[in-house]
Amino acid sequence: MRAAFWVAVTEMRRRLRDRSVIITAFVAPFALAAIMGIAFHPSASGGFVTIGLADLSPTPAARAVVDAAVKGASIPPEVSVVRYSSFTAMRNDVRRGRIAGGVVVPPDFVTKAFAFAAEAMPLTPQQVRATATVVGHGNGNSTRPPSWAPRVIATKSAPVGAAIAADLVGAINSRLAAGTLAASVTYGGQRPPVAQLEPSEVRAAGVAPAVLVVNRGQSARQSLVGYFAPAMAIVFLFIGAGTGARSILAEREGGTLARLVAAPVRAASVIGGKIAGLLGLAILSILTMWVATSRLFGASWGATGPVLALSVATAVSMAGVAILVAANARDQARADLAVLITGLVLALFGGNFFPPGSLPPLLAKLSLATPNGWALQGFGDLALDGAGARAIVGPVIALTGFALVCGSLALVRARQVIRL
Amino acid sequence: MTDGPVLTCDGLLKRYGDRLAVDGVGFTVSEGECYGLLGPNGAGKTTTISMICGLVPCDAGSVWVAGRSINARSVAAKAAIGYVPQEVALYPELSAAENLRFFGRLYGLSGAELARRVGEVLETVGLTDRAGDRIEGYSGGMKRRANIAAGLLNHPRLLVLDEPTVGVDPQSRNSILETVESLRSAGLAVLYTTHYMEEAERLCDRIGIIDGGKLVAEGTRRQLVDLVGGRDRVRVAADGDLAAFAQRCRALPGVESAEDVGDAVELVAADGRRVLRPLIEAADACGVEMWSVEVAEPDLEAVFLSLTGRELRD
Repeated sequence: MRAAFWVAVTEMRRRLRDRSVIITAFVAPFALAAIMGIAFHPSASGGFVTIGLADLSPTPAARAVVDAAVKGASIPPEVSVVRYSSFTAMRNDVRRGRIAGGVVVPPDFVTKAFAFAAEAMPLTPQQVRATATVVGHGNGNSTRPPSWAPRVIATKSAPVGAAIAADLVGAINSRLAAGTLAASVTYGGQRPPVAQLEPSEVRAAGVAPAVLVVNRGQSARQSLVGYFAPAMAIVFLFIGAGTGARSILAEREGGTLARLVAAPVRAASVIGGKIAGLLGLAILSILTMWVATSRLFGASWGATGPVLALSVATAVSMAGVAILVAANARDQARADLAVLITGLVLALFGGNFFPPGSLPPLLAKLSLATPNGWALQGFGDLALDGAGARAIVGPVIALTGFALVCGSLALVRARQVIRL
Repeated sequence: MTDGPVLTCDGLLKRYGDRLAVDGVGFTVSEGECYGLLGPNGAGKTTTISMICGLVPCDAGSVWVAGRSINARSVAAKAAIGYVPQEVALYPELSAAENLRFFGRLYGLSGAELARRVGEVLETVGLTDRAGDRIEGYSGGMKRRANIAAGLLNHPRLLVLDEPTVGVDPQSRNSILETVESLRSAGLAVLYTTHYMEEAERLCDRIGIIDGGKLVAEGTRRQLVDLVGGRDRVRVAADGDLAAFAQRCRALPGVESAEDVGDAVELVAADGRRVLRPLIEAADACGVEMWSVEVAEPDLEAVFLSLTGRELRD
């Protein structure tokens, strides 16, 4: 153990003195994560996709109803909603590309919607469905919407923004449909006095009160950096570990391996020490990325404990694969090439460059055939969904499996390499 | 301390696929003795010492160092061996002192003992002043000396040097050879492989000539020369009646031939040194004034050529 410890310490010391390792393990992933952090920072506000909302409702109560509907619309963290007081200002921003799309809520939307619901009372189940259908035009229903319904403002150059805005319209409509029905029930099937409604009454009517059309852009950006920071760290820790593993071949060619084997220590100590050193660096590299992106970009990777556990599992499994790939190469040049190609393939399939959710279903499933895919699933749950320790149990188990299988094969191969 | 040779290897055999790299090699090295394995590149020198140091398993044969058997699975027994590989087996990004501390730890050294030993071996190879410099900044000769220092850390009973002067300048080579001579004088058993006959002649008490994986001959330089019937050449530069002097020389015991070549007489003798005194007496008798005498003994190159039919540097 003592010999293995010193082999590991020396391996880490050597790798850290090697500037190329510092670049691959620390500088490059950090730079890429930083670039992505800046790239996901839109000029208008702070989100990945920013949608404008021009609510022209004339009364505070009506605006509160819209706000409540927006709040309940389950807007994903990647989307931020920016409010406009003027329809013209929002339309201009859409045209200039400052925001991806916009939703305008006409002045009489709330009143008309409540009236529509009240007039339909008492409702049969079929009528409820019919109400939802008309009000829910934004969900893609083909029925022509009434003039008072919210509508989408978009440009052809921003189809994603248009789609998100349409979804937002649908979500507002759905929430409002539910709210109006509940209000109608509250008022005994009579038309609710919308113009006089106070927020407390809206709440009583089953619609969550007021405001909270929050600009979630900042947190969305942080979460995205929180996703791509580990994604980039994983790619480069793989390459770094592969480069380190290749150094075993270099030591064989350079003679230091012979000197190590000639010393009165067991081969297992030499191999164990070397691998421990590489693992230590891999863990150090991903943890450095965590601390750096959290401190400098305010990135959120998730809760500390699960992030630590997942980082260690990721580093061990990815290093295991990298060592296996490098150790099976005939020489250093081939090892470098094999590690690079394997790293890129894993990154493409695992979702380091494109999140699996944005890939076709088959490719998304394929991502789970890679250790980095599992790792990113875990990191994604922690960063984007704010999940707890339970969410990483699956990824950690999968990563441990990868580590055991690849690590065992790598050990067998390393023993062959060390036999001069 | 053990009685008998520090190193005994017997019947070593190593095969790589169909190729027989080492075929039945056996020899001994005693305390204070420098044994040279002389042979061309690819003769089997490195494979032989790899088996001796436990780096590769023997297919047959045995190795004993300081009374303990050595094989590829040996651990503690390797502590008696100091190994200096052919390559500069040090980490270039670390300083000499850092390298030595690391390898010293692998031999169980620690604390003050480790620091003292690192200082001693650096002193031995003359690198104390550059101890803190990275190996990558060293000259070729300095790297070689640091390489030797790493092999001395553990106070070995047997020092194995695998062509330690390859690619170094003459000055550094001389320094390395002096270091080896002093270590041998200090009582180390030294196993030295080389394809430079000059080094083998200068350093080695006994020489084993290896070719094609086989030890084709061994002994002192003189024994090897005698083995192949080598003769010394003596050139006497002189003024006077050289023809008469040459004729008188031919009658001297041990002289096989003598020729007047104009400004000198050239002789062939079984042992050139033994005929020097009779030569001087013959010159006096002939009234010849001698300017210089050169004795050229047959070198190991000639021995190798005679034994293997090809030159050492083929």
